[in-house]
Amino acid sequence: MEMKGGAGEYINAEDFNPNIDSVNYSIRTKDYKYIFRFSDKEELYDIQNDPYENVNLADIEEQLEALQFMRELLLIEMKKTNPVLEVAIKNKLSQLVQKEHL
Amino acid sequence: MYKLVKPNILWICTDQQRFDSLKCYGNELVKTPNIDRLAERGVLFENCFSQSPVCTPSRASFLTGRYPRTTRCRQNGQAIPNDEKLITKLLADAGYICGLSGKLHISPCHPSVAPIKENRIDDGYAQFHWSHHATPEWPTNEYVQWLQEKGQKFKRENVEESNYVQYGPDAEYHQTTWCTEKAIQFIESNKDYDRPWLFSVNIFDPHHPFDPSKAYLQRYLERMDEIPLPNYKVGESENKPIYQQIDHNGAYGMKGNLAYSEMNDYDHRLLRAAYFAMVDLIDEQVGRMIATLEKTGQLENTIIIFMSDHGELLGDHGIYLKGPHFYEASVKVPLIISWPKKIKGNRRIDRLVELVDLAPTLLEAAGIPIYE
Repeated sequence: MEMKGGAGEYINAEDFNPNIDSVNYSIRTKDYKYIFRFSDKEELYDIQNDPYENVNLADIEEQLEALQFMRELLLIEMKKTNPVLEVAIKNKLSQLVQKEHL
Repeated sequence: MYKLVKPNILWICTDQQRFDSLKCYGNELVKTPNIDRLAERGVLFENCFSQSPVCTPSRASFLTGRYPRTTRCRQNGQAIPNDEKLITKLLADAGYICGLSGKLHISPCHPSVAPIKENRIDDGYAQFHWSHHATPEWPTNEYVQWLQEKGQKFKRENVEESNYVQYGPDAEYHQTTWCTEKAIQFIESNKDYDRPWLFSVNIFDPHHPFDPSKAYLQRYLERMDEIPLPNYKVGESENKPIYQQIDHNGAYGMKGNLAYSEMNDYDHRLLRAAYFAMVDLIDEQVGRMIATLEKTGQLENTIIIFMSDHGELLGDHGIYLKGPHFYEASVKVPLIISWPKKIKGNRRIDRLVELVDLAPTLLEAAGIPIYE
């Protein structure tokens, strides 16, 4: 029996259903590594000062600027490589941003 | 002669061995002189990454040179489709004789779904000594049959004061040793033939359970204080993704299963000691295989690969074993390649390489067009 969801089965980007599907992406610069998870916590690491990735900065208020920068960077890459998913991820991120401003 | 043109390939792939478990990768505790010497004779890749932190997707990927989403083996328990072409099949079609000892694991290997043995596609292996792991769970496990032949039974013994570590069979009856003896037999019996060969030595260790040979563990018990603790910052799991929090309380999401949250410093050190002890036996056996190549005059034109399919968290980030956690300890693997006849040795390469690069590289080395 094929498991539904979570088994990484192949679907077209156009068929991505934000209610049941998930996708993770990561992007890094010289200073930061950012991991976006569609249905779980984001991660942000200061890889200069925390190369072993023990401290997730995504929840830290003082790091919001860096987090926003990395999110934007990911969206720029996504637009080039997978514009359909870019829209889904953008929507998801804007929900998160709204929460951050509450 | 055919063999003068095409190199033999001795492909040693351990299971779940993190990159920093060898002296040549900076580990000062393990005893790995043979693998270190191989690195001196060849090329060591300082930044090699696997395509997945678990077996089947990683192995299907490096055996085909394609990413897991393409081979459709995205997690353990999924079978490699018939239309995938393994590097061993391509080599066999080009005249190689291919053999294997140990696991293959590109199809389901749990005894509940594969009660007889692993299902195979047309994989190119002419000699197939299958032993998925040491524990006797299949009547066809050739390692267990070998033990029987020697009047032995597979058994583990408890290590006092540990809930996590056991003693496995002594070195002479160990699965690592059996895998090696099958390789040695193959290397010796092929020396008189023209055909080039490939042999996959797919040792199960240092994969859990943590059950090294007694004598090998003992060496570490005297120096437990020197063994470093895992890379973990107290409370770090709390603001990490949910699966990391779950696995902190039990590996594979099974509460209490090698749960970091329940262990003390002694447990962590003993687990590392057991892991290192398994690696030490692997090293000794690698030495035997290389000695056989030397003795049979095949060392010059044999490509030797030493690598692993993925790493082991070993308590780093508060988690044991593996899972959807893409930390270095999990995805960074050792990769050493030597080919005395063609490749200048004693080099360390710090550029990023991936296991998916291996298949096309081997085709090129064997003078076979890249398959697309």
